[in-house]
Amino acid sequence: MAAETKLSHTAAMILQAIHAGDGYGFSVMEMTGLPSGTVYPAMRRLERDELIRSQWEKPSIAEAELRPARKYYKLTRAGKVALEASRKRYPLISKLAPIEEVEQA
Amino acid sequence: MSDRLHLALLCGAALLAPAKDREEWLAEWRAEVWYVSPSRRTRFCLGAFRDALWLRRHSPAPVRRQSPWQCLGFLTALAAVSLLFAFRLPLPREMLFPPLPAGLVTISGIAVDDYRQLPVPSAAFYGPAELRGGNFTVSLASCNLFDLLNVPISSAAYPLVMSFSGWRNRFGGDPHILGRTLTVAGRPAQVAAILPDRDWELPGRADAWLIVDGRSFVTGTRGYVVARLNPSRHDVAVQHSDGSIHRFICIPLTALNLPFTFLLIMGVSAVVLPAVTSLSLGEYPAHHLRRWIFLAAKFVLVLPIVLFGTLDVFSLIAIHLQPHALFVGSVIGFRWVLNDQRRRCPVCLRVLTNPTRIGEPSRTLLEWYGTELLCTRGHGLLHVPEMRNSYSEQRWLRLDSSWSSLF
Repeated sequence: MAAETKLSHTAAMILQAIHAGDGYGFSVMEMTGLPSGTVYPAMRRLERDELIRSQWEKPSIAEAELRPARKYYKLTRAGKVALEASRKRYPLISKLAPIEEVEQA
Repeated sequence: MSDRLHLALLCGAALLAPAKDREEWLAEWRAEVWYVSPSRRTRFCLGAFRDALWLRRHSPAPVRRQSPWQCLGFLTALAAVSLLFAFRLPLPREMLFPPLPAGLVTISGIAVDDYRQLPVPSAAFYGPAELRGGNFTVSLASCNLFDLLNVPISSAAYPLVMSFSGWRNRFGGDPHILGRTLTVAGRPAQVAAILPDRDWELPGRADAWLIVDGRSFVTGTRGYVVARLNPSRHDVAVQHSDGSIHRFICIPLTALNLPFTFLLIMGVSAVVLPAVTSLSLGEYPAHHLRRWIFLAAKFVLVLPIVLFGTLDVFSLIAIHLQPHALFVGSVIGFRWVLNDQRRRCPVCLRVLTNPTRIGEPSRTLLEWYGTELLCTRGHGLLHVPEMRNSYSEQRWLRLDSSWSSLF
């Protein structure tokens, strides 16, 4: 399957956000500006297509920082290839960069 | 909105997610919502519904009800529950078995003098709806009218019995109306009963009946008679003192045959079924009798589910929408029966699984494009074209025993 040819602009933005940012759902939302109803299903689709993989962080780390444990997403090898191809197709997505984390009010 | 409500939203959305993924899915969303500022949390949580729906749509089909026996068992249980509720709830029970006593007839346009000479042991008279208060009409009725109709009324000096529509339209369905004293034609009358909303109507179109002594009707008043007669009689004769005979036509006061009416509505919905789904069951060998029995059993079980289910639910929420709901429910039910049949293996009748997209949408007209489903027992593959037409129908590919090692 030529994964890179099937990536939509939204999926490419999410891949770039996972690659450039902290790699959990809300950070991707913040970086891309996409709503939760778009980001999370898209991440599940990317995970199903094996472009990203997820892993829960250790509870001890979250407890030390007094916050709930995060589910982190990382690019797989195929995801990196797909992202590289998407950058050629959508050059502006390379400019996506992490912004400061919104802290709990 | 409080954190508790956001959590309730997430828990509600979690119900849409497949059971095996639900716990982890909810844990992720609960963790994520912690990072969202309070003003954006509601919108964030609403996105969870879309995510849960996506997860459900893209999960393998649930294994429950795959077997034909499980399907029939589930339908039987559903039919039994809806039937049970139909017997337990008062309105559906009354609709199925109207409590109207048998053998009642009505005579219209009869003078009170003729009524008094009727050769009938049980007859009641009521006048035209002549007392008006705004658009509310009241007629005078003899005291045995509601005994004949089997409607119990509480004792009062001047009892007033309201029709269901009169009570609903004039008094807004006030539940405390019984026992209230109203002024009717300058005379105080106490509301003694409300005629239930049944599927028969007394002629005359009165909103209420004021019960009076039968002797108080003025000579010459014309009105209506309700009498108990042998149903085979179509008229009744009154012989006057001058020897003349006056015949009156009797119209049976019968309840509408609701089960028949409902079956008629379901029949109409079966006629419109081709407009909402294909009637074709695909290319299957016709000799599989078991398959046709299964299809017929599903139809037989869906009928009471839709009929009694509609009676139960709509008697509680909107009784006047029952026929419409029955029509829509029948169409949906019959459509489900056909769709369910189409996605089952014609050999073992289990639901086919593992849907796989074959071909490319851009080549729909040039090549075969559609979905392939598999029988987990290895009986075959079902090809469902994306666009059905005269040359591309649902097709069953039987696998012979050489494939058995794969299953």
